[in-house]
Amino acid sequence: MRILVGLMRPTTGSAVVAGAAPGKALSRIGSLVESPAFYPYLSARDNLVVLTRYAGVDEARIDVVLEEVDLKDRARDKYSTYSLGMKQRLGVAAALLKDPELLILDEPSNGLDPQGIAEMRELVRGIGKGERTVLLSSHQLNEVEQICDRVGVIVKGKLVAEGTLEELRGQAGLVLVASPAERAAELLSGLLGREIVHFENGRFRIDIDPSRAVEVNRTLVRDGIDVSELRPSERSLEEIFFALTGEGAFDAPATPLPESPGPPPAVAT
Amino acid sequence: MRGSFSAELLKLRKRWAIRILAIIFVLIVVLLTYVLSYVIYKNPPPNFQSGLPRGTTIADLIKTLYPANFHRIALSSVNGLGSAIAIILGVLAAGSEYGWGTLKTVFTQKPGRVTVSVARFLALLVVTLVFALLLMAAAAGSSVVVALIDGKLGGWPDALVILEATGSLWLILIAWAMFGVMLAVIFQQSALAIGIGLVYGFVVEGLVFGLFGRNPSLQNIEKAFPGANATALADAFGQATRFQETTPLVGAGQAVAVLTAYTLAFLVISTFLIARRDLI
Repeated sequence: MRILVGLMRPTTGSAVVAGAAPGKALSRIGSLVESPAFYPYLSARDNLVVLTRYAGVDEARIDVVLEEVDLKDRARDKYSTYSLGMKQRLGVAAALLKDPELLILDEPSNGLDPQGIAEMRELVRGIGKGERTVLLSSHQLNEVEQICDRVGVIVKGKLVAEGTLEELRGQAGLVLVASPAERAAELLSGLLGREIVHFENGRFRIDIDPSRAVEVNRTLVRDGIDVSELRPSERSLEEIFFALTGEGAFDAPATPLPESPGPPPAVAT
Repeated sequence: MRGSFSAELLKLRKRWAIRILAIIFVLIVVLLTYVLSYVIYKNPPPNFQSGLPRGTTIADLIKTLYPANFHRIALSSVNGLGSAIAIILGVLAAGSEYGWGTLKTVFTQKPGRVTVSVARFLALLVVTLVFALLLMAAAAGSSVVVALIDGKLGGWPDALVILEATGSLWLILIAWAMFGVMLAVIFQQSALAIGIGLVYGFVVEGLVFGLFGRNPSLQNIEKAFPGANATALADAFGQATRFQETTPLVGAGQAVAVLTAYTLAFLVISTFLIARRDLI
């Protein structure tokens, strides 16, 4: 992020932002990199006045952006008296001063309480509704999932996947809880193929189109298997991330499909 | 550049720390130089007269506080505590940005790093000019009060001399302030920069050259240092008291050239570092 906004130089390689080298198109880019940083002895308005002068922007924009982040009532208070959530919102306001085509937000919800996170989520959603592109960087995958239209996953500095959430999720599947599990596993493997039937935490996850739920249910019930849960499943962004990075939240061993006891061994006579 | 200059000036103008430095500067001149000296001269301790050089009377000392000498008093105050205040001014102008992390906010707006650095220099030029004018005004005002109390207003220095003295004061202040800016940029913080700046000012320029300054070979080295040139420039306007008359280490012309060169060198070094370093 710091490279994109011209604060750092790349050690190798190059970058293009808004059609230009980093730092060359700053008049079209607004950014909030990590925590917001302002002059504590100045009011929010004076801080923005300082920034409009650096940016060569009309000071009339100040009221517009303060309104947008809902800070107009506290605009004359010193920045040092602001809560963390207000500081973050002022950071977004500063990033919006130039009415940028591209808004880069790096961890805008960092350190916020649940209320602040929800407010920031709504704010970012609102900002991104028009023609403007918002590039949001975050480790809070749940937030990314709720805010972003397109998602890129970067692992060790490399972009390993990029697309809409639907594209990244790929084909949806089914979640099933059935008893006895061993017999259900046998039937499902026979019907759908063993490679698309997974058993995790007492549930089956089946990688098929959810529209085949009726067929699955009918097959199991016909064989006397109790089906207590059957619903479509969508992979969360966290699951997608772990799948792409090959890492897990914790190293739990994979659960094999439950197996039925099978026929008794043959006895030589 | 105009916008960046205006932004830098606004930041300095609205900052209470800068105003407090100006107040301290004025108080040093008014209280320490005028009020304290006048009280001592009017109520000298026993044997005070015997401690004075031959031919100098207490009346001569009191005369130094009259308006004819106010520019010399103002210039003498900029050495020592005055230079320390100018260094702190420069450090505050540049060093606090690192502590607050505001450089990234500024640099991600639009101005180039060189523009910001030069704009800060220009803003400091304005602030140090205000400091110089305040100092001259405080010295002039105090000298008038002292002279009126004594009923001996006397004459004033020529307008040209006052103008030259104000300009010299300004040059000395901006040179030290830019020294402070450079230290703050090098160390990327205020505390260490102030510490190093004060140690340099008081130990290297004050103690070392003060103690060993009579050594001819050391004097040649001293001629290249900013403190010695600042003192020489102040001394070029003559001493307020007859018995302190000394020959300045260098001429006024050389002092102006050296201090200007230092000011520009401090600006170039700090600008180079600001432009080249990554902001982590």
